Amino acid sequence: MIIQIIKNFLYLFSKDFLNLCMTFAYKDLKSKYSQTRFNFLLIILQPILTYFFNLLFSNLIRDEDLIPNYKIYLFLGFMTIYYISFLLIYTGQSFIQNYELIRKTNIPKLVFPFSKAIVGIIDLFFWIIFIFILMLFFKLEFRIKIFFLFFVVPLHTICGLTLGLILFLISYKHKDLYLFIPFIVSAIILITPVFYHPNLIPNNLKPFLFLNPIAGILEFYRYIFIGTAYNFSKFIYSFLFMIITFIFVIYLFQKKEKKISEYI
Amino acid sequence: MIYNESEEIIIVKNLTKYYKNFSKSCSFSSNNSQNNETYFKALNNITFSLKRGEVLGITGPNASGKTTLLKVLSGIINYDSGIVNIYGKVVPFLTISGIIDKNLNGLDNIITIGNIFGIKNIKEKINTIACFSELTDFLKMPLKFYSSGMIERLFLSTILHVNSDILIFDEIFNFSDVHFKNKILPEFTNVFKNKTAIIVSHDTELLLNFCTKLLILINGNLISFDIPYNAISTYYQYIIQNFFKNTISPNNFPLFLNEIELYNAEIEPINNSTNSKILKIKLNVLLKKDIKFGFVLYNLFNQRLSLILSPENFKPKQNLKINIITEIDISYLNDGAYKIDLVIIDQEKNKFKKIYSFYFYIDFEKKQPLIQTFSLKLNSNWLIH
Repeated sequence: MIIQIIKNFLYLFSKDFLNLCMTFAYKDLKSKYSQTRFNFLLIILQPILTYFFNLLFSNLIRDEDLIPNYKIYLFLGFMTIYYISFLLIYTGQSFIQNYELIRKTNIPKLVFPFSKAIVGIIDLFFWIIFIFILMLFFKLEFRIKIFFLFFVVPLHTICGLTLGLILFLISYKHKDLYLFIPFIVSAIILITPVFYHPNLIPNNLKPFLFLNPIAGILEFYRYIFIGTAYNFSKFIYSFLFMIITFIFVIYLFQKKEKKISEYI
Repeated sequence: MIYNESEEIIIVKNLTKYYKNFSKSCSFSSNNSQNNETYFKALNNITFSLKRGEVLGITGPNASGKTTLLKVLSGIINYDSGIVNIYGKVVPFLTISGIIDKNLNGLDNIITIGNIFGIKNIKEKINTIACFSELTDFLKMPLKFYSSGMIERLFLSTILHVNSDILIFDEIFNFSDVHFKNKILPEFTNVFKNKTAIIVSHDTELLLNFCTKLLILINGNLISFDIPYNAISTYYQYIIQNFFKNTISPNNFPLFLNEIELYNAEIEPINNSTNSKILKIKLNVLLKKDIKFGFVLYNLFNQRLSLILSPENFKPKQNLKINIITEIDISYLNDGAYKIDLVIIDQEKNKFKKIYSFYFYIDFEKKQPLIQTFSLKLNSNWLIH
């Protein structure tokens, strides 16, 4: 079984699979923006609008003294949640959107969420570019830590895809759970320190924070961009757990692939 | 590459597939909500095998399990019992609408189709595909402005370049015009060389021209797996026996039909099938008016082939039960399934009024194409008893 799990996981790195992912991502992007007037400019608009919303919020609570660089701090929170919720929603939706391809072709079904993840990474890329602009604006120092992005972005993707695939595997027969996605996203926002500082969490609840890989990812981003304190060793268990879950979910999905084709 | 002709590429033994039916009855007031799981047998004990180079046609009425069989062979869905062994790469073409994206233009769609089906160097083949599909001027237009026929042209022209051991098609030659069909079908004959192909279609002409074997599926059961001619004959005889019912029109004034019987030349009754060159139709009727009546011959697709009218001097007595025997020479007809309507001619409205319909199968063993589509003048002889 373990050999099979590893084999299934390694398939994700095969040329055929990656080629198909790129095809669907390209098709998705082109199709998404083909009917708009500003095309790809709209991708940049998302982080800009979020930032203006941030400005409004951070001016309202005047939290600059408590948390330095609160505007970027908050922006990073929104970015993390945006990408997680994007994957959470679109993983399931990608299957429903492409149901005819799932029912009537024998291409690997995992292509659909992974191609959505590529679309999401392109969005995320523009959010990160915008952060660089903000860093220049606020005269923040660029450190070598920026290279950690090559570690944290894949981790972020894995986290979103794992949650999305688990949700899909539970609910591909009966779509009840999809009605609760807004509540799930709200719950993620509440248990992750998006608006507040982790220090505000009571000491007896703090261990739960370290169980949350999304909090780990968010704090990692903050460590990279604004240099907040980060204890990687405390989050590593949740990361490891998440990666193992991801590999197992991939195996489970591939095992159930034919059943999914029948029921979707 | 040297191919072994006798090599079996697809082996299917006792294949059975069920679909689960969830019929839930639950009520808010009582606790005894029931969850009745019922099963629908989509495929029942299917056994056949195909060799390299063979083209299998599959036909049968709707909901008989054709697409399910294709899905099982393509590895898209599971099956419940039996053995399915496939030696080679399968590429199924079961849908066009799911694969193309109507918001993208023709060029992007060619690339997408190519990548989905693993066509190598698709970008280099775009020109050939565009020229072949005769859509060069439309390639930069989104597919939402294309007609169904144009989309099918683009799709078929692209998939000509697929390289795979086994190709599976599900009713995809539907919208193309005659000119394009004549152009693309020989191309597919080339594609099928040294490959194994499976085609599902209701187009009997296409199946007879293309396939080396034909499989007839009805209600999930394999009715016939044979050379196309034999399989189609079995199919037509089966549907005449089981699906088509002879019907009598309730409002049949001024011709009241008491009895109608079909005989062959030796005056033996014909049930469903005949190999007699003379068809005798015996009527027991009561006529209330001086009317002209006759028989109309149709093929199974309701295309009218011949009108056999009662002669001008044929004046049976009115208000009396009489026996009329009509002898029709059917020796010029091809083998196949036919329908004959007994009709009254309404000369004022220039219309037929149908009184009775019956189906029969002609089996001369001519081994010719089975669908009679051109009109014929059939000789007839009318007698009054």
